[in-house]
Amino acid sequence: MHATRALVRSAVLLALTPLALVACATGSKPGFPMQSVDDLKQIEELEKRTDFITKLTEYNFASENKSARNQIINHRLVLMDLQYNRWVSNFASDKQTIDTVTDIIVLGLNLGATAVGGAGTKTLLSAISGGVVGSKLAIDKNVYYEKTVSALVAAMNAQRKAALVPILEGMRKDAEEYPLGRGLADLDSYYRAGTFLGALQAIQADAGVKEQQKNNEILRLRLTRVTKADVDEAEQLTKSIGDLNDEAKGKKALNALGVDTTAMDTLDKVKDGLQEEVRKATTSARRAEVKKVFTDEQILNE
Amino acid sequence: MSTYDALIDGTDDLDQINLQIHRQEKAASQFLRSLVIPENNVPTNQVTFDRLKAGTVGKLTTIVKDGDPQPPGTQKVWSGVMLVSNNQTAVTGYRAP
Repeated sequence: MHATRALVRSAVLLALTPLALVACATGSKPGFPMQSVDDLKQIEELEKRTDFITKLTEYNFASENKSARNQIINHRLVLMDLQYNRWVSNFASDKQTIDTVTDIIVLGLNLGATAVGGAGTKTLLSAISGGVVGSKLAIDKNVYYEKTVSALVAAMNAQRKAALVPILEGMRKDAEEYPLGRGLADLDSYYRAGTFLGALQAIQADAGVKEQQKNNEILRLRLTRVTKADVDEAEQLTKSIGDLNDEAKGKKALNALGVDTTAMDTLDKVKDGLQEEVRKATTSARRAEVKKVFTDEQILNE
Repeated sequence: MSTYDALIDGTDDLDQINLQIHRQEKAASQFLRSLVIPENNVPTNQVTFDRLKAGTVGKLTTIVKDGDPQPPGTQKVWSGVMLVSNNQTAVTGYRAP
């Protein structure tokens, strides 16, 4: 009996040894290299700074001042960024830590089960191994909603970048044009953009906008890389549309490009249709197609 | 006059951004403004253009980093922030009057 307990103890120790080694060896969060500076220390130091205006009570709202306003905004921006970075790296690394830790424990337990003798001991170690895997699955599903964390971080990062724009633009303006009150409201939006709730709202809003745009049929292009030759070609095609005076020829070209022309009952409407096709030719393949049709229908040479 | 939007990658450099804007302007369009938006959770430049009359070659707008010289014979038509080579950059748009 004592011998079996000793074997189990040895096997569990064997399982946990690599874990301890990993924790000691890295000293940093998995997936995050060691910072050259201590975030927490920086936050504490910044909060204690007194050599520039950081407190609202020190700001003269009756006589707005650009420099003082920017000092307050900058100070808060830096603190928000440091806190955000700490927060993101903590919860993002927690999951990786759990994954790494449980994988190592399971590996160790399985190795232990193979190394020790006796069917009963093997069963016990396998049961522990199964329990660890089970715990890991529960953490994955209940706490981090599986892979949503990375999607939320991506959404938060994008929202924060967008929310930073009005602040950066505002800081370039005079104090009267962009008073501190506006800046504080924008800072609040910036803070909220870096929260789970902000990210979820943005994802929902993004979906809503896309749906609305689909409904309204608003033209929204995704441009791709172009060359100077592409720019010159667009000019050539546009000029040829300006010179076009044959409605039938224009319709034929549009049909060749897959456009329904039944509602285009005037030359101007046909020209509008052709021009829109030139605007929408955002890929090199489509641009080549448009140019070919314009050439084949002798619009380009007209 | 109607408008439309065009997305330009935040990774593009300023020369490429200007070329893409110029290509649209040569296609009877005129640059109005740009906004950094999260597109599928990726920060992206959303540029809004006015549609000009079909067959009209628009005047070219040149986006310049703040601090760089204004192109000769132009006037300021817009200023704001764009993603240039993935960096938030204060820029100004100039166009011939």
